[in-house]
Order: sequence, then structure tokens, then C-alpha cells
Amino acid sequence: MDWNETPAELARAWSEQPVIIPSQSGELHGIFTPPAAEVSPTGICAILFSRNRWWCDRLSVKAARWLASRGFSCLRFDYHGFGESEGVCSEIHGDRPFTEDGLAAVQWMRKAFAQRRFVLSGFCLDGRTALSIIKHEGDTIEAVVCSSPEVTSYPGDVLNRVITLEKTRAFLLGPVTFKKVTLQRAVRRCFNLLRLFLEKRAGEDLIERQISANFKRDFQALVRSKTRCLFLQGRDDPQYYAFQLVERTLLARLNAEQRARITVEVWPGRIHPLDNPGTLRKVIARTIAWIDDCVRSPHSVRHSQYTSAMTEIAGGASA
Amino acid sequence: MPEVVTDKSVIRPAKATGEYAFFFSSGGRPLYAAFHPAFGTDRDYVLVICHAIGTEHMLTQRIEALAARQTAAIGVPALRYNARAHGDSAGEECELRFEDLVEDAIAAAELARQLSGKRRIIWLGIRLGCAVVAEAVRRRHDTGAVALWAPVHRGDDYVRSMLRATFFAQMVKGRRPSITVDGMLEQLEQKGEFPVVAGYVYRAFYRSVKDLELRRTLNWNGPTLIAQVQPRPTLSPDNECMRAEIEQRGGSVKFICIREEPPWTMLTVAKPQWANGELLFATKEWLDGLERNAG
Repeated sequence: MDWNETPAELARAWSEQPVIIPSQSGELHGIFTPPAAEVSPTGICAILFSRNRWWCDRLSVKAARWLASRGFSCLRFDYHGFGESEGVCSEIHGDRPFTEDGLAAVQWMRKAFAQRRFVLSGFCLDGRTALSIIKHEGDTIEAVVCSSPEVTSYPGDVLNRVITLEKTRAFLLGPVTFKKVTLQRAVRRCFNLLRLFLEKRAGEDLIERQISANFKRDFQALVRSKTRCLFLQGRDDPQYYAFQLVERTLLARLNAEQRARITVEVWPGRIHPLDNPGTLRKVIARTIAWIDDCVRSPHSVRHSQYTSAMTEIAGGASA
Repeated sequence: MPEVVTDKSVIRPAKATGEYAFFFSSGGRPLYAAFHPAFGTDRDYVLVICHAIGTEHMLTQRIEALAARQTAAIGVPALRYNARAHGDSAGEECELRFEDLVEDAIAAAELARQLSGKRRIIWLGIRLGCAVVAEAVRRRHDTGAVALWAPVHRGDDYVRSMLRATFFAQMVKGRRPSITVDGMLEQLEQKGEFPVVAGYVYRAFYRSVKDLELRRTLNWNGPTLIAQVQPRPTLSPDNECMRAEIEQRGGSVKFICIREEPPWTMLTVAKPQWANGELLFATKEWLDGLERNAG
């Protein structure tokens, strides 16, 4: 995808409107991008979640203008305690999404801009935020893109990845600073694992217990709804090692109809680290292309997708 | 003369502060801005904030908003804006040059004067935004005071620090970087862009800032705040020189040392955006004192 600003996208930039969204944590500041008048409207409002509304290479700004030039209404906004929004955010936890803020945004778009159908997307924690809205607004959410989410309630690797050959080699050959950081992490993870062993959850073995209760609740809401969902993962990301627990347990129990609404794409390599902006661009390009396709193509069980190696996309093909 | 693009852009002002956001035109593009009015004051100043550049802008955006609100609360209206190819503004990163940033800053200053009805500008620069302030001050005759937060003294240092961050990002993962910073600069020159943490550095921008030197540009002799944000307890040689030069020209300089330095170029995912109460408080005190002395 060409990320350079097209005349159509520049026109959308001219039409953007700052908005203030009331929420439990105070006023949230955002930008509404109306759909282009010269294309047929999709009737869908895309809410692009990110910490502050142009976090990471301004991809949500560019994505909003791209989608708006194709007939979507779009909203991006700052979570409470981020950017211009009120409130305080003292810590971020991958398993504690900003659900209240997301809900406030959906409800405000309905009230102030008469939006009725939504598509939500986000990367990592922002993907979890998108997913967590379905429980409350399932009937109005057409689709969700959840890229590289954390699915455990603790930081660090899942049990079968705590010690690997690759990690041992990196530790032995790595610089002293890296060794120190690794040892500090190892101590913290021992405590996490201890907590996991002591935790009791009815009917769940140790493998399944690693999946956070919050994620399971949001996933069950997704299954109960009619919402379509894309999970995007990088094969070598710790987030995907954890997501494999979901594949082995929660996804494996779905019936054909339920399974058909959920697409899992696994790309070669890593998509999570922020020091690879090229990959982040590909992830967002895929996200908005999927949203566009998803809204334009009717859903059927035949669309069931489980793509374990999207080499053509990860290799750089444009969306 | 810049023009506010749309009245419709203001859905309603924020309830707590009366601030309102809008887009204005600069260089033929819509730029995002937020104006923070101050009521019941006859002070003849308006604050204009020149933000940090690139990845650093993501880190410092919140403290910028907090500073503007705090300033308006003590009776000085404030305008903050996103330069082209930054934040919510339009524009191509790959085409951005230092001169564009200066043009946007000057347009923002004009707008701030229009909206506030004030005659004098207090400039607040953050990181490389300090160099933008220095150039804007040189070109205008309505500057009342200058605040410099964590000033970047040389454009070349700034770009190198962005590149070094990619180095560290790899080392934290236990990988040995395969290329030196000089090698990265070569690639930047050859390819036109180079990936850094959470973004890119572009050749056009690098060429426009690499010879930039803050002290050479800042020809200023008025009230100045230098906020050094580094672990060291005393002013760095660069900041000390800048202070001495401004004082030699007859300016008054207040300096503060904030020892909690954020990872400027390493966008952290597990922490909220940077904000520092000590820096905000010291800036407020300086602004208050400035008003008293001026009054």
C-alpha cells in the first residue's frame, strides 16, 4: 500500500472535525472523519483504537482518511490519560483494555453522528479494547480486527516457551546488559508462574488457565455475537505463542458457523515490535483492506479462513 | 494570514477549560490546533507551543496539552498545533523540511495573536521544536519570552539519536546490530528513508537539519527559561553556553534541571505518555514571574 497522501485523502483531511466525547473518566478528545461524498457510503463507522490517536507513525490518521475516502465514517480518539483527553492513566496492562473509553466512543458516535453499525480495530492492547466492546455492543459491531493481542493475564512467555534453545543462545552470547535484564525478567516470571499454579478455575487445566479470564469472557461474547473477527499474528511473536493456547482450546471447540466468522492470519516472523515500522505499516494496510472487504463482501460459512502463512502479504504485497 | 478552516470543526469547547480544537491552513494543508483561552486577564501575552518532532512528539504530546491548560489557567492564553506531517495535520513525512516547520510555527503565531487579541508571543519549544522557536524568533519582532524544554542543540545529534535507538532496541533483544550509525546514515542518504523505532527518518528532513545549531540560530536577549531534562545535576556544556550567551546579550535566564529523563526516541508500550509535574510547575512559576516583572 502506498502510504503517501492521495488527493482523496487530503480532501478527507480538510473535512475532519475535532470531537469531545463524554466518558466516565472525563472528556475524551478525538477526530471524526466523514465519508467522502463522491463515493457510495458504506453506512459503517470505523473506530480505530490507539493510545493517543496518532500513536506509532500516525498510521491511524492515514488509515482513517483512506477508509473515509472509500465511504466509511471514522473516529480516532485519545484514551483517558493520553494525549489531550482528561483523566489519569498511571499504568498499562495488556490484559486490561480501555473498555469504558471504547464504549463511550461507540455511544457518542451513535448519539452525535447517528452512526448505527461499527467496525473496530486495534493493535495489541487496542485490539483487546476493540474485542471487549462486543460484550456490550455486540448487535451493532459488524467486525473487529484484533492484531497481536496479549491473551494471558501476566507478562512474559507461556509455560512451554519459558526456556528455549534460542533464548539460551541469546542469553549466553548477549551483552552483559541483556543478561541482567533477562535475569530480572526471569525472577518476575517465577512469581507469575507460582500465581498461575495456585490459581483455581473450575474445569480448566494448567494449559487453559494461562489464558486470561478477561480474554475468555470477551472471546465468548464474540462467539455469541454475529460479529466477524480477524486475529492477526506474527509466527515468532510471544503473543502468538500465547494465542496458540486459544487455538488449541477456545477456537477448537467452535462449531462451523462460529468458526467461519473468525479469521486467524499468521504471518512469518514478528509483527509486534515497534522497531520495525515497515511491518506495522503492513499490519495496518491489511487491517483496513480486510475491513473494506469485510463490509463489501457478504459473509458465508464458505468464507471460513484460517491462514497459517500469509507470505504474500507479509512479504510486502500491497493491500 | 492563516485562516481557521471550519467553524464546524468545533463541536463544543471542553467543559473544564474552554479550550477548543480546529484546523487551520498553512502551506495549503489543514493543520490541527487547539486554542486555550484565558479569561479575565489584561496580560498581553499568548503562548505558542512548538512540539517535538517525529517519535518524540508521541512521547511529549500529553505534557504539551497539560502545559497549555496550565498556562491558560494562570491567565495566559495558549495555542498548540501539529505541524505538517505531524499528529492530526496533513502532509507528507518524506517531503518535510525544517523550513516547513518554521513556516507552520509562524502561521500558528499569527493565528494565536488573532484568536487571543494579544500582541506578544511567548514561545515554548520542546526538543527539536526549540530550533523551530529559535528560527521563528529570528524572523519576527513580537516575541515576549522564550521557554526551551530539553533543547536539542544540533540537528545531526537529533537524527543520530533516533538511529542509535534502533541500535539499542536490537541489543535489548540480545541481537548484535549489523550496521553502525554511520552506516545507517549512508543508507538514509541512498534510500531516502531509514526505519527507526515507531517511524522513519527521511533524507529530506535529515539534510535540512543536519547543520542546524541552536545557539547559532537563537539570537535572543529577552526572558528565557531553559529546562534541561537529563540525569545530570548541573547544566550541560551546551545549555551553559546558551545561557551565558543570552545573558551576555542582556537577557534574563532561568534554568531548571529535571533529572527524570524519558526515553526520547524509544516509544515504550508499557508506560503512559511522559508527563513531569516538576517541569510543569517550574514553567508555571516562570510564566507567573514573567508577568509580574513585565507588569
